[in-house]
Amino acid sequence: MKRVLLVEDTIELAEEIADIFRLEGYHVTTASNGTDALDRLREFNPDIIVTDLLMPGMDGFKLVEKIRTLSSTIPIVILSAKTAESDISLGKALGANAFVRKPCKGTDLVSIVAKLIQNNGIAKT
Amino acid sequence: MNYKKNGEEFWNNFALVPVMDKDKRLTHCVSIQRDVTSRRQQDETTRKRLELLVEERTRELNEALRKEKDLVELKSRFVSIASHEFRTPLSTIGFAAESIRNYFHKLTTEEIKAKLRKIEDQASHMTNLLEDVLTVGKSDAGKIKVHLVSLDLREFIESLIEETRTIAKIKRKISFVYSCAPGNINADDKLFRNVFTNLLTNAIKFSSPESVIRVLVSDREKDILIEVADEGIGIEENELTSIFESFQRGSNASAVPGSGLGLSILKKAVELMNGSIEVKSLIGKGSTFKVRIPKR
Repeated sequence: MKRVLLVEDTIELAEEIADIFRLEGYHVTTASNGTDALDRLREFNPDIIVTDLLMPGMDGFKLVEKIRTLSSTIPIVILSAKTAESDISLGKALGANAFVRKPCKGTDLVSIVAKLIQNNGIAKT
Repeated sequence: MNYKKNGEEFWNNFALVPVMDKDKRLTHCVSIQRDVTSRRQQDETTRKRLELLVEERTRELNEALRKEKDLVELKSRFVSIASHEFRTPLSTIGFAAESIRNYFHKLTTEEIKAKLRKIEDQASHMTNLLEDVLTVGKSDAGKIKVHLVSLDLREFIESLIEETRTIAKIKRKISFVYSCAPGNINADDKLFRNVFTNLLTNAIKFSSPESVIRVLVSDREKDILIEVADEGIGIEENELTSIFESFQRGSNASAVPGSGLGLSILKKAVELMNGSIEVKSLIGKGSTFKVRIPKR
C-alpha cells in the first residue's frame, strides 16, 4: 500500500482529501503544518508528500525546501489556494514536482499522485 | 516699475521713439510713459485667480486619481482574498461530494451523513463571507440604518460569548467582567452583535488555544466601554490603521484564514452607532481593542 503524507491545516479539508486517498487504497497520515510534517516524515516514510502552502508555523514553501535537503527524490505535490504564477514558480523552483490549484477534482489529484509515485519507482529501479 | 514724485510706486509702460532729420540722423527721442498700475493689478488678480483655479483642479484631479488607485487596490485585494477564501471551502465541498458520488457503496450511512453536514457547513461559511462582502457594500452606500432596541447588555453579551464559542468549536478560556450600572440600554442589537462577535472571533482566531481572552464591559458617564484583550500574535505598529480597511489583513496573519473584512465591518458598525474604536498591540504579546459606544 502506497503511503501519502498529507500536510493541510484546514481540518475539514484534510479529512476529505485523506478519505479520497484511503478509498483509493492509499495509506494516509496528516500533518497540520511544516514542522508537524517533518516530525512525521521519518517515522511514516511516505512515498509522496501532498502539501498546502499557507499554514501557521512552517509554511509549505519552507517545508518543500527542507524536504529537498533531506531527499532529492521523494515526490512533492503542492495543493494550494495560493495560485499566483509567482507562487507556482517558487514552489517548483524549491523542488515541488507538481502544483495543483484548489479546488480540484479528487480523481485528478489521485491520478497525479499515482503517476508521480510510479515515475519515482521507475527512476529508482 | 517707476516712482511718482511723492515716492509712490507705479507700473510704467514706456515707449521710446527715435526722431530723424531728413538725412536720417538722429536728432532726438520722444518718450511716452503711461501709468499702467491698475491694468497691471487687474492682470495680477486674474493670474492669481487662474493659479488658484489650476491648484484646485489639480487637487481634485489628484484626489480622483488617489480614489481610483484605492479602488484598484481594493479590487485587487478583494480578488486575491476572496478567491483564496472561497477556494478552501469549495475544495472541501467538492471532495466531499465526489466521495459520496464515487464511493457511495464503500461509505457507511454515518460517513455519508457527516460528509453532507460538512458540505452544509462549508456552504454556510461561504454564505457568511458573501454576506460580509454585501454588508461592506451596503455600508459604503449608506444603506444601513440604526434601529435601537432595549437590551439587557450583560445577558446579551453572555449569549454572544456562548454563540461565538460554539461557532469556533474550541473551548477557550474567556474571562468576562461586567461592571455596568444595572438596567437596560438602548442599542442596535444587530450592529452590537457585529461589533462584539467580530472582536471575540478575532481574539480566538489569532491567539493560541491555551491563552486567556479577557472581555471587560463597563460604563462611563456617557458611553459603554467594551474591551477585548488577547495574548495572540499581535499587529505590526504600522498596520494598526490599515487593518480596518476592507480586505486588508495584518502581514503576520496570512496563515490564519480570513477575508480581511471583519474589522472593516466592525469599524463601520461602531461609526454607525457614533462610537469609536482604538487598538493597542505588541507583536507576539497580543492585542487589546477598545470600543466606546455612546449611551442613548
